[in-house]
Amino acid sequence: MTILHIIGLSKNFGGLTALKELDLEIGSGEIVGIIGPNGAGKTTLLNIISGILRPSRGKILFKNERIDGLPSHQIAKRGIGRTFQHSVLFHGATTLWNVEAGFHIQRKVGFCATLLRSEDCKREEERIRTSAEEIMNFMGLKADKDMLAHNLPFGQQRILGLCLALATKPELLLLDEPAAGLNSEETIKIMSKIRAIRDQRITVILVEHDMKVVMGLCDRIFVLNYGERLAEGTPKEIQANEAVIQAYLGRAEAS
Amino acid sequence: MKSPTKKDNINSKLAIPLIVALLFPLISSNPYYLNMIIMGEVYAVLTMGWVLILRMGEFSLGQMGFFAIGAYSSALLVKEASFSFWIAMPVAGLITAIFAFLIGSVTLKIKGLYFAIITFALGEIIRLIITSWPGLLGGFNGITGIPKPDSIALPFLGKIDFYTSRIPFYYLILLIIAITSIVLWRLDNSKFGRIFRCIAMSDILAESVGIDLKRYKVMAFVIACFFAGIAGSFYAHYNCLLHPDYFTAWQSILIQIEATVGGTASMVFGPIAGAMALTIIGEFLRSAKNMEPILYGGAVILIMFFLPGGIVDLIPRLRLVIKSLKG
Repeated sequence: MTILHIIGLSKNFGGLTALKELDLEIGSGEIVGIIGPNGAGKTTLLNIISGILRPSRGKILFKNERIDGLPSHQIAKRGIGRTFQHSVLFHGATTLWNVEAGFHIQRKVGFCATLLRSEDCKREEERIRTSAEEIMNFMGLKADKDMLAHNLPFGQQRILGLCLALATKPELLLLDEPAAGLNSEETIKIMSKIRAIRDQRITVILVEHDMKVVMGLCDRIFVLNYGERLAEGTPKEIQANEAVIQAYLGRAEAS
Repeated sequence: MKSPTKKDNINSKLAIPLIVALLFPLISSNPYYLNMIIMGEVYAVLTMGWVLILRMGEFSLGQMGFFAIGAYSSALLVKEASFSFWIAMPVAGLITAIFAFLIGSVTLKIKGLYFAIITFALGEIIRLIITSWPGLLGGFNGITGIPKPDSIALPFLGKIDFYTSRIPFYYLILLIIAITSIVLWRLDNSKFGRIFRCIAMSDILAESVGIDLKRYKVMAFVIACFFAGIAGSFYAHYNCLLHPDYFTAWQSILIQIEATVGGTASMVFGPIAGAMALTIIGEFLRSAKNMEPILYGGAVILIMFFLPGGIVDLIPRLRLVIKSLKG
């Protein structure tokens, strides 16, 4: 079943074409990798799917509904979560506070009931605290729940970013370089977390430079080059693809 | 940052200041001191609103403009449309809130320094509109002869007359500040306080977890300006005279100084402490009016260096010192 369908997507920044007539289809429950040389348009693609940027042309269907052009908070409400390239977190607050903040969509109690501190409001906060602790347990972050986010080790910050995105209860999760800047031990840890997330029936799209991560995790890989799709296939097929090798390493004649 | 979900025992902390505040007119009914305290509290309401705007990450340098909108609309409602003060005050608050909604919906698309500059200009524009509209708003002559609140009969207390003494005004502003404090305190310690902090810490991440930035930014701005309007209405009928020279940019900056000196981590105690402290200090500096900005500037620098949490941070610090002396 297709969860995300991108049709003829283009993005121009002034005269620069970041994405050109891109078609992608992503099935439910997959881990899909998007790779490509620097400037290929990978992060632009994630930013368009999550609503931070508007596409110049083209359509994006999420569960057969158009989402292109919607503001990013509405896209989050429809079930697309994301993490950011650098550790974008609520740095001044504790880990638990961060994860609880991720539950924004689940808070339904209205303005007046909140000011009057109704029973509903208290129950909701308790329920969210329990769910937040569950997520932190699942991701192995519970021991750090009272630490300030900016005091966490880098690897744990990345996992906290994942927890925040998971708290929005996404069906599709966009990860922008989840392993960038991590040492090999931390990389292995985050890979197992991403697999565990997929096992919760959450579809994952990840942009990554670390080929060990991409090849080890992904069911399918799309290769972008200059905003166009260069290749698509399983990790094995991509590793053997002539065009991909040329794009990454240059032509044999030229070297 | 203090976790906003942490339960503070606000009731016990409040008891002593509340008793002192309630009994103050019995201790001293000197109109000079009463006036000082009343004006301090008017500023405290403004400062609390300013801190609410700061919570969602923006600096407003135009709060005096909204204070003026509240003051002038209330004065006109009572003087020209013969409303009762008791109806005019909430209506003035609502009018200010509507202005804030219209202005905020447009200006809150920009952030940071640019928003601060816009609000600064806005405050000045409102003042210039007042000066250049002598027909309705009195222009440079101001509005004079604004009626004091009508006397009101309360159960147990009997008829309260605002013309003979300043004490009823003192209790009225105390009531206003109590309501403002309770509303803003609860707001700050609820999911809304969390949302505002999320936006302040990282707007891009806040949006990615589904927070509608514009909606909540406008919300904080409108609530802050509503209370500024209420304070303005009180000021108009307390002072009985409105003059555009009172609503200057310097006064708007003063609000920010008061918040910084008092401490912005707490929604209620910091602004009240800062506003009272600076109003009282300002009163003693009357003879050296020109020195005021210099001294305030110095005070802010000293506070930021030695007491970054503001005056309210003194209490936990003193407690630590006492503990270490005992132990």
